[in-house]
Amino acid sequence: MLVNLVKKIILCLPLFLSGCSHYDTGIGYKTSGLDSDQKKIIENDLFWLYGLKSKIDNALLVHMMEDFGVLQKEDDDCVRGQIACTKLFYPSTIFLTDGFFKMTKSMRVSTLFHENAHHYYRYYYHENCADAGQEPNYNCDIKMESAYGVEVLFYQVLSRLFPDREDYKTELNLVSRFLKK
Amino acid sequence: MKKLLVVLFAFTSMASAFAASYGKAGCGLGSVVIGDQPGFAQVFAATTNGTSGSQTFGISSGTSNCGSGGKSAVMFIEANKASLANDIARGQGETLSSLAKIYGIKDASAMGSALQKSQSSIFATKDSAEISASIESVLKNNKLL
Repeated sequence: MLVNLVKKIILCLPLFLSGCSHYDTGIGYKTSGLDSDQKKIIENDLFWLYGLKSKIDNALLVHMMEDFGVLQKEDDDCVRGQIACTKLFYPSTIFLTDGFFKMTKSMRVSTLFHENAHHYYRYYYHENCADAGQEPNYNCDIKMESAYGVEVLFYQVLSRLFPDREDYKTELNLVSRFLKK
Repeated sequence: MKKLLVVLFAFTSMASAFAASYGKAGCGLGSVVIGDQPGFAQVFAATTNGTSGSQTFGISSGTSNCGSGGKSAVMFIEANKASLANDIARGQGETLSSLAKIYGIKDASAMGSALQKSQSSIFATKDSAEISASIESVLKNNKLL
């Protein structure tokens, strides 16, 4: 217990000023501008994800969770209608709005995968759903190698790991609507 | 001097024409020149835009969805459907305020009143994407969006 605490302090010391991280657990992130409650939510969410890590049989997801980059509070609430976002000129930052913290744990974690996928593919856009044959006014992706594609992958894994969880199935169905292949 | 002015005018007009015709993949001159190729080409597009300044504006102001990928608010509605329905019925509440922030609406009270009047039609469905579409439609009709 004490050894772990000392190890954590030593690992976190260089990152202390920019917000501590959990790179020692294999799930990397730093925080910036989050209040203590928000930090706690992130910590709990990613601890939950860490518990699932050994059961996740998808190399891309495992790779992505190794570094979520900087999780930063976004005061301008990203672009209108978004709960979280990434921006072209901030290649290792995920911006989180207040709304992000009012979602369910699985939705928050799936959102982190979604945003991290924008960085991974270096593609900071979505297509208009209407162009992809979906309802107008929403953003869609049109291939698996995309933000919504990675999110679908995550929910597929969750649904496999927890076949009794109806909420995961519902969320998978909803997210799948934003992926038009 | 006159020649210089003519050249400058022609250049700025051309740049404006390019900027005005940006497509789904981004904004500014760079995205038009480069197209919507991911990866390195996009970084180059950003650099090109950096020189013209148009993309810098788009990103820092957050007005044009330029160079920004994000998660749709539909999931927020899905996660908070019951409390949002209650708040819309009352015309106010914490969930409604959060949604106002997501949509960038400063006057949450006006938003609450507008949505309250359309509560039954907004929640005529259980589908979050349809609820979101109805909400956006009401907000647009009330010039809040």
